[in-house]
Amino acid sequence: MLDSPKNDVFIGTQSAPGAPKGLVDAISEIQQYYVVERTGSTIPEDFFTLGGKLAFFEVGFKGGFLCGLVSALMTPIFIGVVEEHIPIFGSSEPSFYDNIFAFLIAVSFTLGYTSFYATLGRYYLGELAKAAVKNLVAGLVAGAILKFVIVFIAYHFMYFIVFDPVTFGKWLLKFECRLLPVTRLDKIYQFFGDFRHVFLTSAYFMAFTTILTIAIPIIGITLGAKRMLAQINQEEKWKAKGKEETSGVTEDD
Amino acid sequence: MELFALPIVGKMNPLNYVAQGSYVELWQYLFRTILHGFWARTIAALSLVFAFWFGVYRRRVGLGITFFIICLIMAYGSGIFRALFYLK
Repeated sequence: MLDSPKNDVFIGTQSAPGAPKGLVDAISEIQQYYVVERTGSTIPEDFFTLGGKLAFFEVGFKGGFLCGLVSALMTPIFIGVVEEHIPIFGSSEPSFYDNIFAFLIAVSFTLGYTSFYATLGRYYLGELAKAAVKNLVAGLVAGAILKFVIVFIAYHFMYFIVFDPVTFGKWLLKFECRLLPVTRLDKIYQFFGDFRHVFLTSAYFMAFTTILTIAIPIIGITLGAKRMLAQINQEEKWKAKGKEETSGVTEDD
Repeated sequence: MELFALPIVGKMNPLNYVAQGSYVELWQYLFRTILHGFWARTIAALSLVFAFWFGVYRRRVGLGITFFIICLIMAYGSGIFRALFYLK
């Protein structure tokens, strides 16, 4: 809260401008930078402070990591459906449609989330907006790569250590009680004994989703920026043509 | 305990109107029809489309995530229930 000389009290947010808390905040700020720079005001890149750059990077990083965790959860289920370990729509023998649908579910969160970033191409204009977009996307790429490394190691850990038949069997027997008799534990053991191979396939499928996470925003932003630039050039041509026509009319008069 | 003495609470128990067997059968029928086959595929596909429509195009993230969760339940709900009964 700030006190003015007239003792008026202004209630405002504590966060400094240029420090978005989430993706929606970051996109809104980029939109503001774009509007200011599009209307003719030139803002030097240094206006975008180190704190601001880090804040945009952090938003992108968190997003890339979170998005990756959701796809890391969905990927073994998708591979499990394809390899007929997990039923989909009540069927353990999935059709072509079912396999495609399981694939779509596995990548849909990544597609949806990165589509937000892809829309930033139309605001990729001016030093400030460009710097903000670059930091946001750099954060997303860093988060996605870190997620890939962690998930890749985790899946291999699951395959070689956690679900290793001997280790898993010993570990499972510790849970034997009235609620979980040996017959039930045996069913769980058999299921994970077959299912563990899914983790290896999933680890390599995660490379594909990571490439998607990185490629969609970069391609979207590049195409969007080109389209925006072409639109601006066209508008300038029209303006110049309009001026020529009006000056021609006044000379004739 | 006064609350349970109210006649309306007693009337809310479905077993006052139908036998336990038909009540269980009703739920089994609902799960068989909703979480299996054509209806599951249709509802899941529509939910996924709505998830993208609201979440990405209309930028209503909450609604998008809700439809995505509905899609997941439709696709894998049957498997989860089957696993619960399989382990029984």
